[in-house]
Amino acid sequence: MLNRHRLLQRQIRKYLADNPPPELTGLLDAVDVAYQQLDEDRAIIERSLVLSSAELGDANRALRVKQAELEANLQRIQAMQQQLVVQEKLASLGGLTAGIAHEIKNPLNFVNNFAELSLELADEMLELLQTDGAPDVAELRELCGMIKGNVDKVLRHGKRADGVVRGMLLHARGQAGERAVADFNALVDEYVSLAFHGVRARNPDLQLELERQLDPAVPHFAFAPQDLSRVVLNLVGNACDATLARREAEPDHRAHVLVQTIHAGASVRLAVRDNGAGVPAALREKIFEPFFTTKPPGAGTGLGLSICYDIVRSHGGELAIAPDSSEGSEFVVSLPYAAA
Amino acid sequence: MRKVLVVDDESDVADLFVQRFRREIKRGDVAFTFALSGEQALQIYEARPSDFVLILSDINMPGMSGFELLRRLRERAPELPVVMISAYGDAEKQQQARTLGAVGFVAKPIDFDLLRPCVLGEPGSDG
Repeated sequence: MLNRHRLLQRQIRKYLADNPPPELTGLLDAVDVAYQQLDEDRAIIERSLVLSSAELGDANRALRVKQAELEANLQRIQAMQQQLVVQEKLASLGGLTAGIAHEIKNPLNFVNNFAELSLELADEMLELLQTDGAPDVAELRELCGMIKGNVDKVLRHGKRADGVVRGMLLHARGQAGERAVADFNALVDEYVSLAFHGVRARNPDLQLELERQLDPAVPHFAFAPQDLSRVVLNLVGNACDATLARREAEPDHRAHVLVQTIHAGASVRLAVRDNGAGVPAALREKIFEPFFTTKPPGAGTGLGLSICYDIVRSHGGELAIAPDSSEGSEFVVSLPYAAA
Repeated sequence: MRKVLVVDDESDVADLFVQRFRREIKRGDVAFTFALSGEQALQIYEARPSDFVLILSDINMPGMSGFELLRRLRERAPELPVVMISAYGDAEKQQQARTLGAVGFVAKPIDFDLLRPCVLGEPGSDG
């Protein structure tokens, strides 16, 4: 800039010969001063640009540190969230222990007793065979028939206990999200019982009519059994709790919980309806939010329905509360089986 | 003959008692009536209240629970002995059964050597 300014000055002087009129000299001096001022301003701007880019660099470095911190925080939060999910899972399993013990001891009662009875009956048969003379064939046949019937019961109830344990292990250990083609009705049936017994173990006075309507048309389809079993446990457990809450206010209330599976087009629906305390319309938006709970402190983690919601969504399905849920409530899970 | 009412929602319980007391039933020492729910048990009891000398009831049943049945039986027949039979073996439930007036508590799996004297009304048996 300075050089161009000198060039310009020299050209002007050339045109005006060596002695420019005094008024022009003044003008030229003024131009000179203006240019010098301009150069100084420019230098200042350039210096401040250098300074600001240094500041920007500093700010950038600070931002990078902040970002790393935030990422570490996020990871911590994610780890905590995972821990909470595990805790919720353990809590739901803990509530189930009594139900599971009950569900195993009942078949075990038959297994032990019918096995012992069969031993006694077999001894009786041996005694009959060892007596002198021809044994009473009719009695032998009767004893044999009883033993057969008993062994059949031992087997049946043994399998029943096995099913309970297997379901429990799936629930506790199952790799979440692992899908397999399975019988949805069987899963619902089993976990409705476990949920009911779990609630009753905590509340021995639970008076409840538990009705199941499992649509035989529901096909076998691919789902994550350990995940969906939690949904059944949670929805049925909540339904039972809701009836308990209502009975506290109305002791003569006839509590009823209906669990339905419905084959509807390309999806399978699970509906859990209770005639309990209901969910006020104002809360209906909130109940699927994490940590939202209507239960007293310590009674619920507030994660149950939120986890159910995520599980159902991960199956490409929907979990919703029916709009007429002030007088008792109905939760409906809809699972598209064709897409799964 | 001692008439005993057994209440349990599992139908195999009937077969279990009939076989366990096969000889005593044959001899006419004892006779069992079975109910599959608390409601049914109350109906049976109310139809012939003087028939039964003992009631054995499960606790965990759909509809009326064993405890509710016990409460209602206490109102109707304070002297009638009731023994609770349950797969819940915890002390809390046993205590609750006693408080509500049950004379005994038997945990499942049922030990019939323990239950037998109580069912047959043998001396020294109060559950």
